[in-house]
Amino acid sequence: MAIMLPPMLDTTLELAGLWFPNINEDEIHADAQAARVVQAGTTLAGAEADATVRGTSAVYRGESATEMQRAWQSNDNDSGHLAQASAAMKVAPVALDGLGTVVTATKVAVGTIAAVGTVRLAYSALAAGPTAGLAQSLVLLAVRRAGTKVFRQASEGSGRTLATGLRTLATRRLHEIMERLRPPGGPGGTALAGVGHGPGRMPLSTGKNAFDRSPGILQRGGRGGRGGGRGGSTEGDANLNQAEQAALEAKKNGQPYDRKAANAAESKQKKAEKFSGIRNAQKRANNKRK
Amino acid sequence: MNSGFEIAKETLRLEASRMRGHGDDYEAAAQRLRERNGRWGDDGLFAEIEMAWIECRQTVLAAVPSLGGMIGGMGHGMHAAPANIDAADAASTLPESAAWQ
Repeated sequence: MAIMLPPMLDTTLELAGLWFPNINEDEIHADAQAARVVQAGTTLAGAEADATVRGTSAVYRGESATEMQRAWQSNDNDSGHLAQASAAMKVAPVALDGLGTVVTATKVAVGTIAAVGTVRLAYSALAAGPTAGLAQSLVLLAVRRAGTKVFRQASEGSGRTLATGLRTLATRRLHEIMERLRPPGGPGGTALAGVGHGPGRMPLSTGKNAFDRSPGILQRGGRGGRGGGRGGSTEGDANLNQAEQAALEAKKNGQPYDRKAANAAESKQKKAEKFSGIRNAQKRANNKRK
Repeated sequence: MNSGFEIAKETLRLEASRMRGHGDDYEAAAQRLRERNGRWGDDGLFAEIEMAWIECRQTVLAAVPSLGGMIGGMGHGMHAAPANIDAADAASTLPESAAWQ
């Protein structure tokens, strides 16, 4: 229940140049409760997700499964992002409930000051002597001094301790978690083989594996796959035969040589250079010089 | 590492849809906080902590869906693995079935 001040006491505060805090502690406690629900709900769902991933190790084994478990480790509910988020979100309801208590205490303190001041004002009015006006001023001054003190303590206490705690223990940690969070299969390593590459993509490791020797598997692997890529291509190398090799050597050394074989060898080398990209690189280098 | 490959596709699929459910649950937990407008009717006395709480609330509302999405993404990945196995299985029987004989 939010504390409301009776109108009588409100007048006294106004005379003393003070005000009654308008802030509603019920709203604060409701926010604290909502934050607590978020913390509990997310922790529960996180624990269940954790159990689900760990349970798959019984039905899913292999390199892609190992990758999945490794990716999960940075997110898990033991010490990963889920656990860190759960710990960070625990702070908010505590801070908010603390603030609600501070607000209530502030209202009680200011209300009490107002009540005491009102009674004293009434007494000094009853006295009705020549000093009545002065006595009333003194009462109002005392009320003002006491009220300001309470306000300052409430404001500084909540601002320094609670707000700082909320910022450093909750907000900043959640920010850090969001910065580190990356989707499975995102940059920096894959969580699951083939995720995000469309259907039919096999979980291929680099190099040869058993599938390379099986017929009929559609593969679009990198270098080293059966017949795929430039690495294994016969056009990628010059592949000169003995006669061509000999003719080329002879031409280079200024000896008589078989013109036809040498031409064939040179065109093969030219082609190989184009395949490996050396030839165009030379051209680009020449262009640059000009 | 090299302990062989083993997969129970149907069980994994079931676990995958469960995982996506956990992701949704995780995200749904923030619903109550989202409905709160985060205003207390303060008149400046508690301005600093109100600012801190508004910031904290925004961060929670941003962090919870992204963590829930992470869990859901994990579920999608767990679904993709058996789907890939099926696709590879189908692909290896289509063009050259004679090669197995």
